[in-house]
Amino acid sequence: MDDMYREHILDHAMHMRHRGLLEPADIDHEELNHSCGDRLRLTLRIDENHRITAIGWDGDGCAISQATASMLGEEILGKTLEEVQTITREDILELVGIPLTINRLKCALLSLKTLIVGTQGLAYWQRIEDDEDDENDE
Amino acid sequence: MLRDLPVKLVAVGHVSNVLGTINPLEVIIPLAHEHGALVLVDAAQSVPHMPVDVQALNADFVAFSGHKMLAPMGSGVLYGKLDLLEAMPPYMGGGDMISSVTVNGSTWNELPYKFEAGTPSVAEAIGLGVAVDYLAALGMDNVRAHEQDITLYALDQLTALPDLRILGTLDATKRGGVIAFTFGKVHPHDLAQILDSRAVAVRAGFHCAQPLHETFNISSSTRASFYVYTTRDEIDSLVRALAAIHERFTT
Repeated sequence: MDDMYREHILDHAMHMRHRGLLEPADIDHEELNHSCGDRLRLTLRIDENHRITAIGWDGDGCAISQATASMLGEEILGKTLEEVQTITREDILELVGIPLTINRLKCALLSLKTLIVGTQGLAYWQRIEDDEDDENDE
Repeated sequence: MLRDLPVKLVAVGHVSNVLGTINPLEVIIPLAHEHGALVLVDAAQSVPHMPVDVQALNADFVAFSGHKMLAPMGSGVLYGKLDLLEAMPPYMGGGDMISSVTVNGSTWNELPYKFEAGTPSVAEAIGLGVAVDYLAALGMDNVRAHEQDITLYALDQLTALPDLRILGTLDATKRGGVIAFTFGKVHPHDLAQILDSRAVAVRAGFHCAQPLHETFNISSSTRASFYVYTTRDEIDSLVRALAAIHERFTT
């Protein structure tokens, strides 16, 4: 079977962690990948120390986008918003662990985008994208 | 709608590029004419695949593209009835569409030049002509018979797979050579990529028909398309790959 669908991705795609929305939630944000129709809504509970104490998400999309959301959820539970802020695109690609074609990169990054825009705002996400594009240009 | 509104033009696809449905133009065109509407047929999915007689159908306009019939991209045909084309003004100015130009006005060249402004895509037009000759030599009846055989065979094999849902009619005599489907919980983009790694080329997404997918309440679909070169062996490869994917995604 294709490399892209190795064990851990399929495992997360078929047994998604933290799936199901929190009600109430301190943060509730949804992002879409318009080009392929993938959708992700992320809800978080945050304590007074800015620590993520609960995660719940829901979405539709391909195995890559859904598995990445599941993996990212495991990654950020218990972390503070300040710590989460430093997660980069490279960290996500490391979680995925396999090379992605350009059109599947968007699938993998949808969950990070939802997290960052939901917690830091769109401007912050755009800064990350611009910075990394600059690095790639060099 | 024809009864209640002053409809001027009915635009209809001859064959659906998702469902494969062959629309009954022999019913639609006379009905539209009865109500005073002209009919434009999108034949991009029919002309390459089956005999189409535009005069017998009595269509007012027919359009189809070259790249779906073995011809170069960017080539295509717009057919129109002579009296309608003669009554229409040019939509674009440029070389060859003009007859005479004076300080006081211009007159238009005769058909088809009136609608072919500027430098033509000569290579593409010649390529299209060669494709037409090639298909005519194969015989469009033979092309249709071959595709119907492949479609029948594919429908037979695909309907035997668990969790596979075919969009559109299962009657191969009423559809062209495309089969769009959903496959359990496997997302079409994943499916297309895994099939690609097994040398099976399909298309995933909306196929430029998003409202249709909304009607079926599905996010997207995967589509296998057949043509003169498609063999039964290739259908077997598709079905074998799908069976393997099903096993992988359910265990």
